[in-house]
Amino acid sequence: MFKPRPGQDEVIAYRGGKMGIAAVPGSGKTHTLSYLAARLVASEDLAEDQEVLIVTLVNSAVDNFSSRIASFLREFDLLPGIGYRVRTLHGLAFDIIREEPGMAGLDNRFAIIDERAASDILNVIVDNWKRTHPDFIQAYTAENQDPERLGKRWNESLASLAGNFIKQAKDYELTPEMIRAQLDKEKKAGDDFPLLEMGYSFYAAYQQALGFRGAVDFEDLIRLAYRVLRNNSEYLQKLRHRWPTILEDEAQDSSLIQEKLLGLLCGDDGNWVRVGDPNQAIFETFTTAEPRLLREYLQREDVVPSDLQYSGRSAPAIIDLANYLNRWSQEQHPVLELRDTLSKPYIHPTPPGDPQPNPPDTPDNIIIYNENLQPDKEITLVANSARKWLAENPQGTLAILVPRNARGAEIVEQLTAMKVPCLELLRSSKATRDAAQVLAAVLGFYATPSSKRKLADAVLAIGSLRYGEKVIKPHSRALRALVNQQEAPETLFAPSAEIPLEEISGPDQLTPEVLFHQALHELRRWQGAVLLPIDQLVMTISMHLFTEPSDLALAYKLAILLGGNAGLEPNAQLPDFCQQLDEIAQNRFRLYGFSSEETGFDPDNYQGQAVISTMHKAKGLEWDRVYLLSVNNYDFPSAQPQDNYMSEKWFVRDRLNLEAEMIAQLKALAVHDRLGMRQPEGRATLDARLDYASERLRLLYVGITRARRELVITRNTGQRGDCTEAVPLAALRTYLEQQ
Amino acid sequence: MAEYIYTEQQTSVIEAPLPGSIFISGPAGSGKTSAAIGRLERLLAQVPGHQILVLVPQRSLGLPYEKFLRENHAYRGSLPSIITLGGLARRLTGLFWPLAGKAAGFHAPHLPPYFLSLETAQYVMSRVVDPKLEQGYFNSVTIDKNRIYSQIIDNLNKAAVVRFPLTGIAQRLKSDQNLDPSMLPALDQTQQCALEFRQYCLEHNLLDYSLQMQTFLDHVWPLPLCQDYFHTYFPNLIYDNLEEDVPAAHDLLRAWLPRSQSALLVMDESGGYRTFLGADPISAQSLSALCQQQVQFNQQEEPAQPVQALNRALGACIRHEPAPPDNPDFSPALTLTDYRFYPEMLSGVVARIRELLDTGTASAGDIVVLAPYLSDALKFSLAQLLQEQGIASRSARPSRMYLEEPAVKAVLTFAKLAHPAWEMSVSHFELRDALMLALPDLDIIRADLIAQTLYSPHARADGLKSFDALTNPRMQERISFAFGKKLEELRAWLVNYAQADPLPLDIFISRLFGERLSQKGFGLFADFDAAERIAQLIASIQSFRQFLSAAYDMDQVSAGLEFIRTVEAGLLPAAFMTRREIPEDAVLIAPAHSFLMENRPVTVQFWLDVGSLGWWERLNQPLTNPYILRREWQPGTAWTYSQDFEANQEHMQRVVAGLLNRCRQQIIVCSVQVNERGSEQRGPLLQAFQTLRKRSFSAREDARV
Repeated sequence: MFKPRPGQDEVIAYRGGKMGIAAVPGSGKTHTLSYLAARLVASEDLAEDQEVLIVTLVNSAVDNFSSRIASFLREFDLLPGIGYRVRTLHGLAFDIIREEPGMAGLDNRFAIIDERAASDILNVIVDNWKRTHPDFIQAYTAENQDPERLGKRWNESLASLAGNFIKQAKDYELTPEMIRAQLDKEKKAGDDFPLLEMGYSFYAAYQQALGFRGAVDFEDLIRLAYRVLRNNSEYLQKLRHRWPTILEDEAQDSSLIQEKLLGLLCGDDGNWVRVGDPNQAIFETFTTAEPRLLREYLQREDVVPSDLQYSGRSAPAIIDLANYLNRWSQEQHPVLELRDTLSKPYIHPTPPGDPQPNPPDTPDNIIIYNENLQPDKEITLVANSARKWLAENPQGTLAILVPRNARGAEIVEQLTAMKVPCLELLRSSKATRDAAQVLAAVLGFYATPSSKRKLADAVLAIGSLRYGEKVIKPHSRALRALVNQQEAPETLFAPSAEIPLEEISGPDQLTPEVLFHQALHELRRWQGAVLLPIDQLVMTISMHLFTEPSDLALAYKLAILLGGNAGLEPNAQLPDFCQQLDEIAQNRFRLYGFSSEETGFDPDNYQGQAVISTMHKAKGLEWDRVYLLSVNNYDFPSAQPQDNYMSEKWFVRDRLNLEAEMIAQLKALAVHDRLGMRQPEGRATLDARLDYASERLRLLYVGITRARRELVITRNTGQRGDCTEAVPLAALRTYLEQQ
Repeated sequence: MAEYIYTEQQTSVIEAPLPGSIFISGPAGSGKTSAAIGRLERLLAQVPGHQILVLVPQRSLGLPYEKFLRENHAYRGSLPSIITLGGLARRLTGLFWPLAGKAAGFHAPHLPPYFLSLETAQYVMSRVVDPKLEQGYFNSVTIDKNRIYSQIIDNLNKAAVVRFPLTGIAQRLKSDQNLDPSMLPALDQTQQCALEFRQYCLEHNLLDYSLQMQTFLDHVWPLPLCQDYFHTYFPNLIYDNLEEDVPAAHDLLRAWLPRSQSALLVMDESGGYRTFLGADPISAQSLSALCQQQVQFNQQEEPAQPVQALNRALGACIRHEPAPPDNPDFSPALTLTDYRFYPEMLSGVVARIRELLDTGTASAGDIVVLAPYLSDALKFSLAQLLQEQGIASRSARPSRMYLEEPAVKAVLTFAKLAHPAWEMSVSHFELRDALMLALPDLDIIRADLIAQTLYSPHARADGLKSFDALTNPRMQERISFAFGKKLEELRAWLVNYAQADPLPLDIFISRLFGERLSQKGFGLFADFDAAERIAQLIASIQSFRQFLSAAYDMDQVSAGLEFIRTVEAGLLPAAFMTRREIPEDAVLIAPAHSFLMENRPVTVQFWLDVGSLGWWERLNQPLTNPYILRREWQPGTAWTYSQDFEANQEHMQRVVAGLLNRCRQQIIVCSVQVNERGSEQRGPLLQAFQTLRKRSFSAREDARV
């Protein structure tokens, strides 16, 4: 049973109204919120047709919440799975629209394009636009650069610009037509806004492309859901009844439209609990997140504020260091505008008797390496240190956290060369699973079972699905050889054949034989199902093959699709269905695209290995020993004159941050701030530096608070050798030295 | 039934004075049918058997009576008629045809009538509908054309047994406010097709069920001669499960009762599972007042208190009523388990069945696994797991396309092989599948090798070549001599057959199945389900053949060919009941509804997929609506969203109560968080279970305080 600590008890006693909770890292907010959700579900106040609605940031959190609530409900002897709904904002918006697509002007079978398809569309648009607007490129390219030779860079940069412009416009509920009308007005007044004109062109062309495909994108989902609810009060009332309480996690990353949508769903007298840590708002740069929204919410009169300030995660010294960073930034940060970056509450170690006591301090459990290392030296240093530590602590967990993906790849290379077991938690290193492809391989074997190549294909496909493509790839040649050696594979498919079923504890014990045997068991088991109608065959296989809801959903869609085709062409046979599957697999339409690659990651499952991740991806996770790399003034700038900024491209005139300039104008346009639209060029670039510096400061805070027992921070000179120690790091180092 | 000890109440029914009429009502399992059988036994001692009519709404519901007669060795007289209203109508219409045919509007009343089965009716319907499909009819609905036929037929039948004018179908259906307005033209088209079908039948002396009922009710039964005949021949009447019958049957009863010497009417209060087929428990209940004596059965024949307590508690949750006061503890009767995924659930179920068998808690025949729908994937996976444990299983489910039945496909493939003159192609895959089914334990690779090396789809006339003719010894070795030998046995039979004159298809299949496939050493040996499907197929072909030769003058062999074409176009089989007894050593895997129609109690029930909406919502049938086509329906009123909702709610409640009334010991409820479609499950039945749990949770919390 869950034993709440101070603060947590206040939260779980919540029964209604509006509450805002500031939670420090490691304070168990997911656990507390899940428990609260389970309590609310168990309450008889919640009618059968009602659900507690939990809104989280990412899909992995959806799974995490769902399984925690389920386990609490089991403890209460209730059935998990009903009485609550855990969704990302996109998932929620999708639910709202799917129920009443007509209200959103959509057909019953509207499609949602995923980010990859969206970026394909944008690339084409950007390329066309660039070719018809050579003047723009010329005008914005830095003086000493040749625009002709910057083709790829401009394309990448503009595509990213276009994507963010469209996202932001949708967040502000601006349609291309609204922007056009405003720009036309300005034009009449004699003013031109080339950046906004460009943004408009991208946006208009993009929406047209979506319309042509009968599709919407993720941002549209939210925008449309909001519009539907605002315009249809009966439907809104129905949903308000259905979801009497909204629990929102990671509220510091909420965007304006998210706040508006949930606010509308909740209503003035509704029940809404928002939990977040404003100090961990690190998604501003990539998304439309606005951390100030949570701060403002916490201060509202109708909101009961609460905090979760006890954390049993880290050793006292590490907590102290994180708190010092917080205090220093409030009191001593050299840039006044950045002094509100971090705020209270401070982290407190758990009180005595808490089920999760803080790990004890050990001598020198914090090391801030005071040397400006060459980038490769930094890598070698960290890799050696990690190897040594892992050898001494085989049961321990260790993470190497980097600010950017590219740096992670370098450290992985080094560790691999040193034969240190390691695992990437980078962008989406997990093999992209393709249900259609795996099914096509399995059916392909059943279509031509005497072909050894098809047998090997099917075995590899099943293996890749289970262990990931990366793990399987090194075995593929040996496996094909093994299959080819089989003189009479049919004997393996006879019911009397005894095939060993080896249990292995990890992918490192995988051999081609094990792979082959495991897959044989499956292939043998399903062979009788080939007599069933094609949709049932696909469902029989997928039922056993897939465990991800998204894969099951996809397989189900494929089954229905093939079943439908079979109805249309009664003479279609297995090879025809395989071909159809192949076509689908190649032209992969990701159905709802909701479950992306992320899944729940538990560092404790990777003892004795080095986990390499970006600091962003590490959010919510914890390890015994944590390395933070590249803490220099390039990756962690502080709005100092000597700092460099990634978003200020070297090939752009005056090193303008074009995105910041354009978004600033868009924001002004959205609120009809004509003066704001005309602010001098470069001003937004400077403002963006502040935003970026403050987000990076919070990122450092997040990085530090990932460590349970030991923390190592290093820095480097950067590729050009001109980077220096980040300002906050210097402050931390000095503090530590004085201790 | 010497060993059966009747309760006092049952005895009073059995011994009630003759003549006389009695109406028994009560829940399932209260001993009503046993009492009725007791009364039948007493009747048989006093009157000749043929003077007794046992009327049931569906043939399967007559099984207990048939079983009694079969086992009652002491009885040597003539046999009672156990029959449905449709059967009776057909019998009497056939008899009085010369007097009624003309009045009923048939164009050739001097010629004999031809009664259509559901299957032959579909065939005739296709002749009406198909040309219209080409003109763009039914464009606004996206359903399979076989479903169009069957839904139009359904509408015709409802009009006949509910007794509303055939011309009123579209108007009634249009009162469904949940329909998208763009679908309305399809309802007019339905109406038009129904009328044209009727016209076609009248022109060709064809009587589908609806016309048979209408002719009987309007033109045959009103004949004084017919009534005299009926009452002379059937002065004694037993009518069981009348709540599952149609209003027209109840109307007739009203006419019969005053003249019957003895009548026993039996009604299951919680029944009404066939309402979507036109059953009308309300008009059934109204017959009570016409009987001299009314008896209410309450006591459970076999005490199942925790189950009944569960029935009350769960019923209250479904109806959103407060928990029944002083309800005994139902926890021994209920196990709730949730799983994340389907395979986990299936393994869990099988492990539990194993345990039940090992501990002697229940025998296999006393265990049922129920789901709202039974997909092939579910059935295959579950049956396979059970088989691995050495547990036999069988399934019962409503009809679906013949084409989807592997056993049917296999025998039809062999039929095509045996009749090269038909020039119907057999593909590599059809042959491979048929071989896998016919030869036990034949794996897919060997089956594929056989189909590759011994058959060429392009040289149809050569048929299946001999295994011994294989010149490649390595290939012979791979296929193996054991399978080669089995294959030869099968082939020899086919070759032998082909040397004589072709037989009608049903006889061919009957022989192939009897002489080879069902024999020991072949794939369908002791396969209950396949045997049932094949028996159904044979009966179906037979009726098809007779129909085609009578109505279209087709020769017997061509009729077989025409049947295969119809099957390949997606023919839906009629409901079918074998005379076979329910095997006692096999676990039943069935949709809940099919189990209810077996009308027998079991010890343990597994309910799978309780989160599925299938427990609640009715099948989506855009061209018909069982509620609007009911008798109580007031023409002109609208069928709204909330009525539809309530109807579903009521339906679920009825099914749940029916299942619990047929359970002696335990319900094991299984839910999956992510179903085989990858979506979350949160249907109303699961919600009701959650409420049940919540109530226990609150009660425990209260007790703690």
